[in-house]
Amino acid sequence: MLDYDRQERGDVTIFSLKGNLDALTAPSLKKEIESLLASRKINVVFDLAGLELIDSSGVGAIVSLFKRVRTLQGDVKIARLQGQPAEIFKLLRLDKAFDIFDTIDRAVERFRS
Amino acid sequence: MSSSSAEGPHEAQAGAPERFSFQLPGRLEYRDAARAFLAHVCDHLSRAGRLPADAGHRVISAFVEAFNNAVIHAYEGRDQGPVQVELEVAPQHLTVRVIDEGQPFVPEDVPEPNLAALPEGGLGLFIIRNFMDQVRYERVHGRNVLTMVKAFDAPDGAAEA
Repeated sequence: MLDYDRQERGDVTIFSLKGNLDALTAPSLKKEIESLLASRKINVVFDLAGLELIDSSGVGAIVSLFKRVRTLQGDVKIARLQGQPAEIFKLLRLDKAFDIFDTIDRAVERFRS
Repeated sequence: MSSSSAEGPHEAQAGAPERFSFQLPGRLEYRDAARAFLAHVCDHLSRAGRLPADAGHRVISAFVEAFNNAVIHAYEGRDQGPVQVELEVAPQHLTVRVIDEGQPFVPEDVPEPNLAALPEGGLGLFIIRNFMDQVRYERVHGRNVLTMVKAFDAPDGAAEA
């Protein structure tokens, strides 16, 4: 089960994920990502405070978006990483690939700087 | 599949291992039922000071990947059979076993991912191997048996190995 809330703050899109981002739910997020890219939104913050679980399929969805927006000169930033997802990010060295912030505001601000 | 009360069996530090076993349909939507039970066990072990919370997250991550592999790969292109989940809480370790009746696989044939290239797939077995202290795959009577062990006194550095 994955719930997500999508907000726009200027040219930054904030996805707040709640629940599980996994093999079952990653396809729905990918659809959302397709609509995002179709509307040329390339600056994205994932707020992971409510994310209970991420598996390798969920990682694939985020990494796929990251690679695509990078080719368009955009970026993906991560806010409020915790719990099981933090363990996965550390193991897969995603904490080195992504900028990670304690708050959504700081992640959004980084796009301005 | 309900577990025990606060003074549950995983509180029993000494003595015979406690074992739990249940069988689920080999479909992803059933995985969370087993995960919730495993999370409950890990939570009790954490509160008893036997398994740090981050180690519990690693056990759950490995289990999720193992269940996914059974459903997505072992039963690929064939009828979805059952997935058997077995847990054993021993004084010094937690064992999680995932068993399916799908096609066999050879773990040695699964390449190590190149993390620097940010792969979008092929990470499941890597997560299992790095998050558990022992991992053993066997083909037994036409079934895939993946046994994963987390030692309670293992150094926290397994993931960084």
